[in-house]
Amino acid sequence: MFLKILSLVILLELLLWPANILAENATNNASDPTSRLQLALDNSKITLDDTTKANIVSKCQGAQIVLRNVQLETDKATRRRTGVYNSIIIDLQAIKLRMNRQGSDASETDLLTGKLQEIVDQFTIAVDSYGTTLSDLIAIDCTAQPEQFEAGLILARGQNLAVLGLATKFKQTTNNNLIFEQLKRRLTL
Amino acid sequence: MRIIHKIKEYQSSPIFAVTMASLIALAMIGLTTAIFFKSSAYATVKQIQAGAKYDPELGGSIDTTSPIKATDIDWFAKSFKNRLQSLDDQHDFATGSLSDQSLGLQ
Repeated sequence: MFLKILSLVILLELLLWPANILAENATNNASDPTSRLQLALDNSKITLDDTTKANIVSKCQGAQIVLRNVQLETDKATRRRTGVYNSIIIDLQAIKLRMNRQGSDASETDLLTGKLQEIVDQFTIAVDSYGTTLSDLIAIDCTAQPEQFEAGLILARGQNLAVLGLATKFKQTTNNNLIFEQLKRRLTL
Repeated sequence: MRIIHKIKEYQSSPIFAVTMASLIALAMIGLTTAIFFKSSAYATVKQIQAGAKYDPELGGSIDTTSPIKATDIDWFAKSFKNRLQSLDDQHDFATGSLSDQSLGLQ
């Protein structure tokens, strides 16, 4: 009896083992911090002299603490920003619905909503990549891999600039008063 | 001999079969739940829940029916500007925060 139950449990475990491995692989996103930073190093093709390398090795753990704070602040700012961006897009949709209800053409809002949604999508992707790089920089053993750490920093700086650029682009696109003036004109027609 | 006979009798009873099937089903449910909690799908669900909790607009009521006037559009345009002005791009994504100096690498 005991043997039967034992063999049944073993059989069940063997059947479910591959499923468990598949789930774990999906969580790990098919790549790990070291290989992502190695890729960044291969792409940047940087070489460090011994003095720079020694400087990074001695100071990088302190830098990782600062990076952790940067990551926390970025997460907080991103959540707040996404909320504001979405609320603006929702309000634009509401304007359109209200105008359509009273028979006014509000197609300008479609154009603006499309542009803003595109920027939000790009922003989400950019900020996600930036967050991943920051996580990698925090997770890596920087004293053993100073080149990868430096390459990751260069990558993070570029990604930070891209995120900043998209945030500015959203602001500039929304501040286009011409669309709102056009909408007001449509109301009086 | 009598005990073995009793065990065999017990094994062939429907109660035993149902109990075993239930135990296997419970084990599988437990394992599937554990895999789900470890998966990225669960992390995504948590993220969406957190986002919905953060954004009051998603839960609140939005006026989509009342008539709209030119002054309302002016108000929206001003509101958009104010909401965006509350976001400090240079502070949130300051390029200097990743400089060697800020990170203490100099």
